[in-house]
Amino acid sequence: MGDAPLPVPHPQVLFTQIDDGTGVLLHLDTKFYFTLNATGVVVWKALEARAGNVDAIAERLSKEFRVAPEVARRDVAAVLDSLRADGLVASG
Amino acid sequence: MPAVSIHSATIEWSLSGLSFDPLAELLAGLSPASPEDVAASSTKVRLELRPSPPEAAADPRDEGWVPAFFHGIVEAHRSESGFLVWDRASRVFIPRDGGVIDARIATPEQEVVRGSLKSVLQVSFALALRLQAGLFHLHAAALVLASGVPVFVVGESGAGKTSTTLALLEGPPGGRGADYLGDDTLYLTRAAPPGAEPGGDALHVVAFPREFHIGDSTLASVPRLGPLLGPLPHYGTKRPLDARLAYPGRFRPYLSLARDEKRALALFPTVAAGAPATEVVPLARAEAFGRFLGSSGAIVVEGIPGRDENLALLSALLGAVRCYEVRLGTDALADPAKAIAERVAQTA
Repeated sequence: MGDAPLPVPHPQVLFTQIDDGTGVLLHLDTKFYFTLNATGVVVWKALEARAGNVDAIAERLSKEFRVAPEVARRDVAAVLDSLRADGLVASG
Repeated sequence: MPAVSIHSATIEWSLSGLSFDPLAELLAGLSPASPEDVAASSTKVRLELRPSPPEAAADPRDEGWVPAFFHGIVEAHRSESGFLVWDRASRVFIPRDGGVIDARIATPEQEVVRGSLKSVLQVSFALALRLQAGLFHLHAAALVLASGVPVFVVGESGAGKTSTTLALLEGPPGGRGADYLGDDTLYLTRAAPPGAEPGGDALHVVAFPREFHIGDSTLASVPRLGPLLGPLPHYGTKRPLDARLAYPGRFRPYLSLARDEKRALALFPTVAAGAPATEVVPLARAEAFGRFLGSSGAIVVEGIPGRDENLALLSALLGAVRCYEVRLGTDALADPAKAIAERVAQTA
């Protein structure tokens, strides 16, 4: 499933990267904000770039944060599940 | 024509057919501007105030206006030409192009909710200063500690913002209290303050002086303020405090934060129910930014101009502050000088 198409950022969601590597998403429709940890920021930027798939993002995370590929894949999947549950992304 | 200055802009207004001036009190804390000041100002906000006609009570939606946001009974509507602020009696039209603001003012007898004109004008100024003067509203308090450290206090109603602000104004035991810009209305801008060279990348935080609003529990923590409070308004549960009387000589019209400012604090009070002792603990910066967004309500308004600039200003503010949550324990009411002011001074 690692090569399945990625969702795309909801057009009404604004992303701001914070100086410590974390980030904040603001959903203009619901008016809610959501915080992203550093892993979430890497995933969101990949979605914005509309490039790659889960495996490619996991590989980047694995290198950047020195975690096992399998752990990275689980992290990416978890972030994507959260983004979908909160309505922050749409199907690609 | 009366006129005042706010940072790099002037506000002037004309009155025709009105027996009272609703802006005189609202803008009393700003410096009067002479005709020469207005002429020299590069940013002018102009209003024409006239009596509200009977048709002002009609719902703007029936005229094609699109609802933008609500603030209590006050509604803001939008169109391609600008924003209309309405409380079912008064109507204020703020054009996007910088043109004259058309304010149709109801008498107190015409108001559906007594006192709502004040809210209409406050919302109108938040929009007008954003659209026409590049000043972006932030719902927060700002102070400058005796040590010179700027402090922002951010929180929704009931979070303890005013209690924290007053504790810092009163100061730690035996110490000097803080100077202040305001307890709930600030504006952010990159525009240079009057007299300064334009340009530079400093962030300027501008005061919009208005009375503080003090609830019973906050008053209990600073009882000396009791005789200075105004009467309870017929709406709301808090009494007004003229900070100029309570803290004379301590008002600052603005403060500037350099890009490399590292001393400033952003405090996010919250009531820690049942906790005996107040704690000041670091707050994740992403969470702090989210709360800045929550205190900048206009940013989520559909069709609002300047959203990117607003976000950039909030990012600059975050970049200039260290963020802490102030978990107010029961000692915050019993001894705010020690519980809040002393702990914040130690953190600073």
